[in-house]
Amino acid sequence: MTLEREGIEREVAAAADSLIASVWPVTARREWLRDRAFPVRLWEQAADSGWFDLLIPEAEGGLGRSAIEACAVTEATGRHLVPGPFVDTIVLSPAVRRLSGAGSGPAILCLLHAAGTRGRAANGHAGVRGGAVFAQRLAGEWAVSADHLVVDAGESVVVVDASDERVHRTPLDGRDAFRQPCLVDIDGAPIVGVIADGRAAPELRAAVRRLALVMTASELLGVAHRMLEMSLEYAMNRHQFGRSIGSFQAVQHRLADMTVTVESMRSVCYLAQVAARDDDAEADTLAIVAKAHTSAGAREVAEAALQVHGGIGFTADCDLSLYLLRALSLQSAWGDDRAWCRALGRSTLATAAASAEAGSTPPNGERIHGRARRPGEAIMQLRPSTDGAGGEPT
Amino acid sequence: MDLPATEEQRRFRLDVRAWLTDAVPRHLPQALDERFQALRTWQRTLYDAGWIGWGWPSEYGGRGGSVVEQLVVYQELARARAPMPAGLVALEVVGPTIAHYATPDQGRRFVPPLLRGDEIWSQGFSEPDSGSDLASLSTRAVEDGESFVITGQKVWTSWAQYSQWCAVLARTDPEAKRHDGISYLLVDLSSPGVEVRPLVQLTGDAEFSEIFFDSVRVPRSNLLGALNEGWKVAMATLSFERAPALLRRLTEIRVAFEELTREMCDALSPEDLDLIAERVGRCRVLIEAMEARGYRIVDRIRRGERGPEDSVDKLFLTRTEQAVFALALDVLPDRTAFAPDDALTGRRWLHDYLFSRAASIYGGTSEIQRNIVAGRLLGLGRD
Repeated sequence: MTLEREGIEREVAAAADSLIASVWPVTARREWLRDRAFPVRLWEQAADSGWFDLLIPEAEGGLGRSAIEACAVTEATGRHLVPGPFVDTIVLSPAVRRLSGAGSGPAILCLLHAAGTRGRAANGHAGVRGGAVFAQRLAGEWAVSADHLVVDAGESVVVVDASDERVHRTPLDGRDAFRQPCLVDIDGAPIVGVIADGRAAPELRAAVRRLALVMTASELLGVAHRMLEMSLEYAMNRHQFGRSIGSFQAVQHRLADMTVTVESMRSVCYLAQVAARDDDAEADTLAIVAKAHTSAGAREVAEAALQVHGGIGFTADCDLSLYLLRALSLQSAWGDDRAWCRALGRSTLATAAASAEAGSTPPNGERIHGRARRPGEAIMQLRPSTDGAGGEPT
Repeated sequence: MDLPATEEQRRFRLDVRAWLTDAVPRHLPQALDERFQALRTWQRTLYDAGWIGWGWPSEYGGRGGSVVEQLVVYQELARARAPMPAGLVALEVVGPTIAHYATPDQGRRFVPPLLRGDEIWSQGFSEPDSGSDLASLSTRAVEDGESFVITGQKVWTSWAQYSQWCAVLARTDPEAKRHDGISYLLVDLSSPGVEVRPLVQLTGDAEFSEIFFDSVRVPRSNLLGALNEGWKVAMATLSFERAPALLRRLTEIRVAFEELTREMCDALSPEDLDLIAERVGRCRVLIEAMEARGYRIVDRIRRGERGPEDSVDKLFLTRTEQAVFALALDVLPDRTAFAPDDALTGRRWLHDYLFSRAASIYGGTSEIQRNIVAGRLLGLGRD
C-alpha cells in the first residue's frame, strides 16, 4: 500500500526509519522489555547519528535542520516504539548546549512540568531563590535517567543537574512500557545555567511547546500508521470461514476508515511541520490542531486495530497492545485532544464574537492558496485546562 | 512544501476579490425557476468578466491557464458569499469530460455555450435499479442508420428541468460484458420522447429529476468517445468531478462554519457557548485537517493524478461536513420550527444539515468509497 512521504520529507524519514530498524529491531525491543532499563546503546547511536544536533544551528556545530527533520525522527520513534525522552532532548539541546556548565557532549534532557491535579492535591510549582531551585510535585518523562533537568521557574527557565543530592526523583508505575513517568521534588539544587529569563522566558516556552506539540503529533502518526499496517497484515493472513478476514466487507470498511484517519493525520502533521519550519503566523494554531487531531485519531485507530485483531490483540503477546498503550499515553502528553479542542473552540468563538461586533469581516475562504496571516487569534495565551493529566509545562 | 499558488495566481485572486466586491448579486429570487434564470445570467456575467473558462482549451472558448485559477474563482465566490453559476454540473462534471473526449467538431459545438451558461447540462447516469451498481444500467440505445434510439429511465439527475442537454450512459451492446457494452451520448432534452419529472427533496428543493426516454432519437455525431467505451468516459468524469468539487465544498464549509460561530455568539449565553466550546474546537480541527488534505489535492490535480486518494478525501470531507452541520443543528433552540427573530438562522442551518446528510450518498456513497479504498489502496479483495 502507498502511504508515503514526498521529496526531502521522504528521504529524512527513510533515513531515520532505517537507522532505528537497524539498531532497534523487534528482537531488541522484546529483549529490552524484560528489564526496561534506559537503552544506553540506542541513545548513543542516536547521538552519533546527530538526532540531538538536528535543531542546533550549523554555526554552533549542529546540523541546522528544522521541525520537519525533527518530526521525521519522532514519527520513526513512534513507529518503532523507541523509549527515551527524544522530544525533550531534541527540542532543548540547542539551548542547553550553549550553557558552559552543561558539558559539551549530548546529554539526556528532561523537561519538568507541574504534575496534574489529582483530587485535592496541590499543583506542582517551582521557583528560584538565592541561585538555587526549589520545586514540588513536578513530573517528567525519563527524569530518572536524565543528565539534566530543565525547570520552568516562571521568571526564568533553568537547568539543574539531575544527579544532585537535593534532587529527589520518584519513578512512577505505568502501563505504557515505553515511557518512564517520574515525580521530582527539588530542595535547593544549584542552577547549572539559565536558559531564558525576563522576556525571553515566554518566548522560549512558546517555541518549545510548538515544537513539542508537532513532534508528539508526528510520533502519534507513526504509532497509528504502524497499527494500521499491523491490522492490514493481520486481516490478510487470518482466515475464518475459509477466507481471509480482510475479504469481508465489514473488516474492509473498518480498515478504510482507519486509512482515512491516518492519512488526515499525516496531512495535518506535514502542514504543521512546514508552518513550524517557516515560523508561519499560524504555526502555533496548526501545532495545536495537529496534536488534537492525532491524539483523537490515534486513539480511534488503536480501538479499531484492536477490533480487527480480535482476541489476539487483547493479549500482551501481540505487539498491538504495546502500540495501543503508547497511543493512550501520547494522547495525554502535552495536552490531550479534549483540552486542546476546548481551547481552540474558545479561541474560535472569541474570534467570531469579535468579528460579529466589528461588523461583517469577510470570512476566510482563501487559505488553500497562500495562507492568510490572521492577526488576533491569541491561541498561545490559551492553555489547555489542567483537569486532565495533560503534561503542560508550568 | 510546494505551495500551490504562484505569485500570478495570488494577484489573480486579488483581482477576482476586488471585482466581486461590487458585482455579487445581493437579491436572488426565492422561487426556483426565477432563481435559476438569475444564476444563468450570473454565469454569463462571470464569463464575460473573464472568471470562467480557466483550464479549458482556448479553441473551445476557454482561457487556457490551469484549473487552479478556476478553483481560486470558486473559492472567492464562496468567500464573498456569492452564488455559484447555474451551469456548475457542466463546469465541474460534464464539461471537462466533453473537452477531453470531444472530436474538434463536438468541442466547438458544445463547449462554448456550456461555459457561457447559454446551454445548461445535466448528467444521466443513475437509474432506479442502478445506483451504486452503475454498470448494471439498462437504458438502451439502439443504432438505427445515423441515429441511436434511446429507451429507458434515469434518476437523481440534478437540474434536468432546466437543462438543454443531458450526458446519458446507455447500453449499446446488450451481448457484451456489462462494462463493455455502454456508450456515452449527448442528448438534446427537447427531443421528442423525453419527459422530465422533478423530485422534491428532503430539503424542500426540487434539485433533481427523473428523466424518461421513449424512443428518443440522438444523431450519431453526439456519441462522445468510441462506441461501447462509455464506461471509460464515465469513470473519467467521476474523477474529473471529484477533486475540484471537494476543494470548492471545503471552502463553502469553512465559510459556513465561520458564519455559524458568529451566529452562535449572538444567540447563546457565554455559559452555553463555553459548554459547547470543545465541539466547536473539534469541528475546527476537522476543517483545518481537511484543508491540509487540500494542499495535496491541488498537487494531485496539477500532476493530473486521479485515483483512490480521491475517495479518501471524499470520506474525510464527508466526516467534516457532517460534524459541522450537526453542530449547527444541535445549537438551534428548535430543530424544525423557527422564530422570525432567531439570532440563529434556523431555516438555513436545518437545510444545510439535511444537505450534509446527502454527502455520504451522492457522488458515490461512503460505502462505495470505502470499497474503493480497501480494494485499490489497501489491496484487499474478495478472495
